Amino acid sequence: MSTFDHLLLLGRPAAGKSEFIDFMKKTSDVERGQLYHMGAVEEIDDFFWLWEKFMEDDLWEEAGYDRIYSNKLEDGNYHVKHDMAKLYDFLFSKFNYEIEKKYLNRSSFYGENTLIVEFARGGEEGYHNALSRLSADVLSRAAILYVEVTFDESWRRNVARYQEKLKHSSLAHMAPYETMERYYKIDDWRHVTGPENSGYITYNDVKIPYVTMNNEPELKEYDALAKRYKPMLDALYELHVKK
Amino acid sequence: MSTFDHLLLLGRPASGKSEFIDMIKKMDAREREERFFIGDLDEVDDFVWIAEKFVEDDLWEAAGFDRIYSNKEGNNAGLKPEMGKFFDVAMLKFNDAVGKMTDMPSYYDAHTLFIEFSRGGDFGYAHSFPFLKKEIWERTAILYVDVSFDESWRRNNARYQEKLMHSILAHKASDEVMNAFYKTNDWHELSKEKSSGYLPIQGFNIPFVSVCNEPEIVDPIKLSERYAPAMATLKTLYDKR
Repeated sequence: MSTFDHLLLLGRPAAGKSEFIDFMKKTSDVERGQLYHMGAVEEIDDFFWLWEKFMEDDLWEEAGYDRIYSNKLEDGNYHVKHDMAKLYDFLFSKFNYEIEKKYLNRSSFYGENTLIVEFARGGEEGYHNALSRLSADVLSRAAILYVEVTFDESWRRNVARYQEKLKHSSLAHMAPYETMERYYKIDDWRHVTGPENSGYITYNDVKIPYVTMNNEPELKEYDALAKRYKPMLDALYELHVKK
Repeated sequence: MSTFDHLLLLGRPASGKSEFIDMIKKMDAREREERFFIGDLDEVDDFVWIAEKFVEDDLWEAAGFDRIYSNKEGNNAGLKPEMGKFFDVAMLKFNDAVGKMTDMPSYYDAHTLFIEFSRGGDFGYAHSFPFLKKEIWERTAILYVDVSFDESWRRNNARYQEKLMHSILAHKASDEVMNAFYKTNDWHELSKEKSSGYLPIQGFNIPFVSVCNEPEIVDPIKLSERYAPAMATLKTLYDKR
C-alpha cells in the first residue's frame, strides 16, 4: 500500500490538527495504510521551536538582559514581539533544514512512514508566504490537508483546550487573544487555492495536491472522525497519484 | 576509590581541554580512578549551544534576514562581540543541563561530570561563575588549563590547519572571537596567581588547580605525567574542603 510521504497539515490553532494526528496514531498500521493512505506517523511541528524561543527568552531575562523574541504576559503566556514576526519566516528555514537532515537524507524512511508537517499561519499572505519558503525538495513529496474552521471556532476551541489543560497542569498555556487575532483572524488559504475544495497549487515549480476539510462542527468520537477524514484523504490521495 | 563529582574544565580555546578529556577517555578505568580520581566520564560543553546559534544564524540568512548572534569568516562563525552576553545565557543552560544529566539515584557513585567552558574579556570567570547554581558548586572542583593568549592563538590555528587536511568543514574560533573574548583573561587575578587553592564561591570553598600546559605535549604518557600530580593535589583539596 502506498502512502503519503509528507502530509502538510495546516489550519488555524485548535482547528483539529492535533486531533487528526492523535486519530492516526490510534489507528492500526493496516487500517491507517489501507483506509487513510498514511504510513507510521512522524511529526514535525514548528510550535516546538517557537516554544524553545520563549524558554530561551526566559533565560535571557534571568541573565539580566532583554528578551529577544517574545514578551511574557502576566498570566504566564507568551507572544511574539511585534518586531519579531520574522521569526515565523525563520521557522520555514528550520523546517527545510530539519526535514532534509532527518528525513530526506534517509530514503528508507519513505514507504513505511508519513511525515506530518504541521503549522498554522495567518494574515493576508500567511500560507502563500509559508509555502513559498518551503523547499522544492520538501514540497515535491507533499500533499496538503487544510483543516478549516472559522476564527471564532478556532478561538472557542483554543480556550476550551486551555481550560481542559488547566485541570491537569498549572503550566498549561494558550495563545492569548491578542496573538490569535493578530496572526490568525485573517487567513489566506482560500485565496491561495481559489474556491475549489480540492485540486492543485504550485509553489517553487512543484505541483502540490490539496484538500480543504471543513472541520465544523467539532467531532470527538473516533467513528465520526473516521467518516470525516476518510473521503478527504481518499480524494487527496487520488490527486497525489495523478499529479 | 572516591572520585570527583563535577570537574569544571576551564581554559582558553585550544589550551588543551579536549586533549585532557581525550587522554582520560583512552585510559583504563583503574588508572583513571586511582591516578586521576575520575569516574565514568560524562561531559557538558557550552560550545554545543554556541554552535547551535551559528546554525540558527545560517537559517536566518537563508530566510533573508541578518544574522543575530554570530559573524562568519569563511566557514568560521563566531559570536558577535556585542553578543558576548550569550555566554551568560549559556551559564544558565548549564544549570538545567547538569540537573537533567545527574537526575538519577546514585549518579555520582560511578560518574564524574565534566563541565567545560572558556571565558574571557568582559565575560570572564569572575563574571560568569555566579550564574551557576549552588547545587553545581557544592560538588565541584576546578581544573584550569593554563596557556598564554599567544599559545592559544597558535594552537587554534594549528588545529584548524590539521582539520583542513581532513575536512572542508573544518572550523576554528575566528580571529574576531579570539580578540574580543579571549585576549584578556581574569583567571590569574581570580586565583591570585596561585597554582592551587580554594576560591570562595556562593558560600563554598571551591578547590582548584591550575596546570601550565606549555610547551605543548602530544605524547599521552608525558601528558598524563603533567596532569597527575595536579589532580592528586586537587583531590586532596576536594576532600578537605
